[in-house]
Amino acid sequence: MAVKSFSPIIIALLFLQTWAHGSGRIPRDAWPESWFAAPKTASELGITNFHESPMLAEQAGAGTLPPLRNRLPDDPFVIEPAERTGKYGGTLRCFTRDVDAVRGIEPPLTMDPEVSIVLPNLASGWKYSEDARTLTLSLRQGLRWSDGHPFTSAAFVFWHQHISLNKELTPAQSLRWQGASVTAEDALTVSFRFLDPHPYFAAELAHHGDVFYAPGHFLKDFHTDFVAKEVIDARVKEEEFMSWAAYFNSVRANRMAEPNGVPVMYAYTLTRKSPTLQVWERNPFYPKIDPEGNQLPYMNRIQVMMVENKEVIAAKTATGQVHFSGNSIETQDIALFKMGQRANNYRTYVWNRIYGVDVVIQPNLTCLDPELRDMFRDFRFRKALSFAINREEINTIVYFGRATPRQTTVIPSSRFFEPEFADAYIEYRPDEARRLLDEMGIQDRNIDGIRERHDGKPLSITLEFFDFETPKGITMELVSEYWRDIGIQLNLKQVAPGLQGSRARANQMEMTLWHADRTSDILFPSEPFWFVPMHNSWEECHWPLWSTYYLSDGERGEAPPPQLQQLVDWWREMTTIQDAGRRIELGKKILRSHAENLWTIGTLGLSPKPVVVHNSLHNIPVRGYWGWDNRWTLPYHPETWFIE
Amino acid sequence: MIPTLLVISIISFALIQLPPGDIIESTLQDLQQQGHRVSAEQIETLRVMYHLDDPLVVQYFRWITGFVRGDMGYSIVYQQSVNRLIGERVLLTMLIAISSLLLTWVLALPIGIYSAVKQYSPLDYLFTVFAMLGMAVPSFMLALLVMYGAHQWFGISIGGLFSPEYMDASWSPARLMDLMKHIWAPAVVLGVAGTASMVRVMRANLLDEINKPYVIAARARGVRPVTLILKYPVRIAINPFISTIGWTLPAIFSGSAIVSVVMDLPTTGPLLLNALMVQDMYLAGSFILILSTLTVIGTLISDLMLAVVDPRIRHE
Repeated sequence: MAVKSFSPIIIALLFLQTWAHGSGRIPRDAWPESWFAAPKTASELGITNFHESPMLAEQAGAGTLPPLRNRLPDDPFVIEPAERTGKYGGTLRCFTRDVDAVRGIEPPLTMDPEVSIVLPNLASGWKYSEDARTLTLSLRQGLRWSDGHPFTSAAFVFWHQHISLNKELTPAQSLRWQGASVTAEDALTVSFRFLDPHPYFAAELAHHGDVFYAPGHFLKDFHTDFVAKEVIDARVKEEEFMSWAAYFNSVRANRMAEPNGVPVMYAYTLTRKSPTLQVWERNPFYPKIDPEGNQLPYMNRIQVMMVENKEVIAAKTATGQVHFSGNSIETQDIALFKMGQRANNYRTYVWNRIYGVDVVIQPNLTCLDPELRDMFRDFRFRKALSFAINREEINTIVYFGRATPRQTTVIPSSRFFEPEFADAYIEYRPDEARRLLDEMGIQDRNIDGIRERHDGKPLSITLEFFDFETPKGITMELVSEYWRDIGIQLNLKQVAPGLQGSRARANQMEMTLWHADRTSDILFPSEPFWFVPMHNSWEECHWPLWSTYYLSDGERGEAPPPQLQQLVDWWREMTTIQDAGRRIELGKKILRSHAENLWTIGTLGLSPKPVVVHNSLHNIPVRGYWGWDNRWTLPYHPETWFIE
Repeated sequence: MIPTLLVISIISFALIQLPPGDIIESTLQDLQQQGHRVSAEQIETLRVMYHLDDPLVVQYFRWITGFVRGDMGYSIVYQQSVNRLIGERVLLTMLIAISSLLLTWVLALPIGIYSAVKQYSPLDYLFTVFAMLGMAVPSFMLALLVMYGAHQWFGISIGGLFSPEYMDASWSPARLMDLMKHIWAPAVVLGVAGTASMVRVMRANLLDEINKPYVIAARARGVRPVTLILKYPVRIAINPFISTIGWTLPAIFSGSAIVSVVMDLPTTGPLLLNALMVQDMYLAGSFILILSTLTVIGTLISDLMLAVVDPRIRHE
């Protein structure tokens, strides 16, 4: 009883004690040094004895599986665990949205823990041609799909010829892929040829390269290029799908009513599913080993509980019902998890979000309301909005003081980063904000606390947003108070995700929010959503007309002013030249433009994010970055996690 | 009956389409939340693929002609046929709903009768307090309290029908025990909400009857009190319940959406809730039409049962 009444004090002490850790960039010694370089192979380390899990040894002994040496590639590559060598066995329990994080993703290339360097994975290396228009991947010898079939360059060719170029499966190819070709030089070498130089293709391969290959030997039975259309149509009707494309995509993604055994390269394959449960079992042909020659993964099974509701997930996580929980639990829940961790036998790691800022405030510079649009376009207004926000106070209230107040820009470990980009206009200067608004002529004439616009109407802005993943709602409630203090009325309006998409794209919002993902080196160069008007989707609504102009080649939307057209030109140059130095220079020019002009307004970033780990689960790094940029856990090697 | 159902189908179809936005935006939400880029062309293509660009009347006819043939359409969100989606969950929904209904009736009738007969006694007051609490506390709030209490005091895992260890196990006495440990909570939460109002109605009706002259006359003639109460006044007082019994049919089918969401039960209720929120036309529309059909059929059953139980209606 006495312990219980002291626990709030203990929690408070814990937070004070870890105050010092709150500054954003995680030191490199949080992870094994080997994770920052190409993985070594068995022959390089002199490993000649390989071992497999008892579960597989039994099957190999009985003859239902080939022996281990035939299942591993010719020279398996070695992944060093974060803590120690694991033990075979165990079933990991997690929730639906954590499947990718736990089961892993196997792109041909991968990335380092700081999400900055591209490293080999299924491919042992890659090479650019002289003009950077062609990238050639060298695959490792002897790789196999989860059904034992060899994994070769044919997998990439199949994807390109029968999926990417198929009009029904891919109705509209992205600009980059038009006129591109994928050729298999030989079984282990595949070349991607683009019309324009594509220096960042390697980064794309590291991030989502797993979509660029497909098990042709299995999928051709479901493809109209190989099977008569009548046969396929009959099957589509029988399985009750609306179209062949829907049917094929479901087969490829293993989303049918029953698992269909489609071959994968993951560490686990889907073996069972029901409305409440999915079960994944180890892949006997997985090509990686640990430094002692044990074939990975260590765990036998992943049991996925299909729970969608966020609060239910938080409640179940807090009562220790899963071994790992990361997705769907948020900063606000950290205290809840810390409270329950001793009684329920788990620990709460606090990772950092890899987002440049958690809340990107986007005034719509192409807003339909002319008064608001002119005000937003005036730099003094955006400066005032930024100065009026008390980021330190938000840090204390929302993030337990552990986030970093910063402007919207790339993360510190990026090679494009300069400290002045993050420090631009983040001081709390409400008086300066008021002075700027006064200077613009926006006064409060009727002394009701809210300034009037030039047309006499009260200065009221409607902010529509979809509140998920980062604490947007709470942050904006505080921000609306700060802005009210300087005479601006902010109306917060939460919208359903469908509406967020349709309204943002259609330029119908006055202001919206998102979290600044794509601010690491892996994604920033190809997808600088916040910094260049080149994308029009549910995340952005600060310049939809200008983005549409770029995307439609000038047919729709509105031509951006020269200053912003310059950004588009810099970006196009940056992504199509070979000179690495010049690319960095251009990237920094783009980021500098944002820091000097505040196209968006940032709040705080690199924020604490809970990752709940059961006491029986090991080899998960205590610190890490969590976010889309690194596919949640890709650089942290989930195949080395084990239960004991 | 058929014209009623037809009108209902038109109204539900129109209502579902009414809110701004459409299913495609919501479907892509999942993809987009994981960061995949979705282009405007992809959205247009999906819209065409699912026939969402056809005029509303055409869409309506496509749906309704399928429905009468037993094909309830295709759920864009779940990427499965609606028949299969609902079928997977119907058994469990019925199990929970019927057990909560039985609980309601088994509790409410005796308590109601007792409250009426021993009006103003201490137990009557106690039951009244509980009835008021039960009617006032929202069912999802009660669900949260019950789950919390079950976890704190009995160590039963929060939410769902099985503890994580038994979710994947094969059937065994231990697994059955685990199911029993979890299933009483939803049954109680759903049952209690209905019990409260039933107790009050029963009590009020019976009080009306008890003071009628025929009852006093029967008492005077020495008829045993229990037999008397059960044989005459209760049969009259129970009228309103019989006439609403038909409406339990749709309730059995749909369960309670919000309580199921809170308690993480794989029933049809959350399915309907989600379908309505994202405007998944076939799933939502078919579901509502099924519920309406069941209501209409249920009302018919009620009428018939009333005729059986109440001779006055028979002889009219």
